[in-house]
Amino acid sequence: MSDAYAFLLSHLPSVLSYLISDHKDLEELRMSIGSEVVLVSASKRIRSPIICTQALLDDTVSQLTDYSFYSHEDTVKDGYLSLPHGIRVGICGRAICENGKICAIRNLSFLNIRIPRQVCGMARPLYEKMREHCFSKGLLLYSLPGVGKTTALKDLAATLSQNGLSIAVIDQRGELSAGLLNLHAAIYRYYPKKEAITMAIKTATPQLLILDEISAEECSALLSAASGGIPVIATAHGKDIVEIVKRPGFTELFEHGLFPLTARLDRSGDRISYHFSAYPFLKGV
Amino acid sequence: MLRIIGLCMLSVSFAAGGFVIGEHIKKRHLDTLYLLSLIKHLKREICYGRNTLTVCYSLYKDGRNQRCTKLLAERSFQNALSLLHLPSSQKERLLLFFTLLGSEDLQTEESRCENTILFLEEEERELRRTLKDRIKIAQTVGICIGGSLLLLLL
Repeated sequence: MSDAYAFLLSHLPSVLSYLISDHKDLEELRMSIGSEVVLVSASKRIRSPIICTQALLDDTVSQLTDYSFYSHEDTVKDGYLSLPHGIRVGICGRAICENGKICAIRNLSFLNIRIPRQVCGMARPLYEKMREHCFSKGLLLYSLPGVGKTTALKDLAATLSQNGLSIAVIDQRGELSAGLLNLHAAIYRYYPKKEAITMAIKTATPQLLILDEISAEECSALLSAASGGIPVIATAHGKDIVEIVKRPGFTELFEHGLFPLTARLDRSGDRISYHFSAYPFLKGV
Repeated sequence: MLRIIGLCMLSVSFAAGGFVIGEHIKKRHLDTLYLLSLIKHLKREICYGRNTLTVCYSLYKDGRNQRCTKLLAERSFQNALSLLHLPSSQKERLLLFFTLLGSEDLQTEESRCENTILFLEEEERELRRTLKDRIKIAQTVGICIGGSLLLLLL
């Protein structure tokens, strides 16, 4: 039983804890007020007979946050709760805004509890590809949400570190480094990505910089990593690499050679596969 | 002879009752002070430390009412409040406060703590102002009733 699963068993309201006790391969628990609680695993999606009520949802949030919802204020504004063992809870409710910025979220109505998995050896093909290029080239791993990018990146970070490479892991949500704390790596937990990238380049002098889910915001900081010659391994949501390249900020990253390698992650059931390509995607590598 | 002993015991118990009530008033004041210091500590830890409630309670090192603090940390609020010498209306308000504490965002928690601190400060001020008089009255009434009973029934 994983630590994350054990945490949920002890921190969910008894009715949910009982519900998940038979699903050890659980990946997601989705709750929306007025509808059934849904259990999602690699191979199936089960609609449970339990109807989510406001009380059940509030109770779940209270227990998961150790009755301290306020202590997650920073991440709540970004729409999620970061829990121990890399568990991430996506939340949705009524936003209170001021000058176009979210100040608080109240009356929660939806939760998506995502349980991280540890699949040892999952990132082996990525590691081998990096080794082929002597760990000197950056890599962008992309796929649709929920396929396993973070799990693969986590395994890759562990493999790289175990093989003696000095890495810096930028983990804004506390997901990536869950269970990696014993590794020899500079782990920037809960740092804002942009600041952490700058700090890592200046102070940690890593051979490789690893971060999850990059967006246009981090592009300028990532460009400084490119100019410093530090290869970056990152993930991004997306189905098609051409569409990702066209996103604001991303074009520059590719043009500056930050991601000469890209890999699309596919999954069917428990089977994982990678499809590599090299920018400007004229031929496979 | 037995009648005299009985009457003496009756009057002594009335006088002692007065002292017990006086002691209760004193404890009520001390418990209000304890709650004030606890909630101020919680507010500080919530707003500046951003610690979870479990950590906030564990960091409270005041020696008074340790058992009560432990029960509050275990979310056994009714048992915790039953240890305090407070009127039931005050206990109800505090029960609601402790039950809801932690369920909202930082701003709401801060104002919730502030409101309770203001309420308790007012209570404490009032108690402090009348503390000596109330104790004296309780003790005097106890002694007077005891003494008068003794005189009347002898």
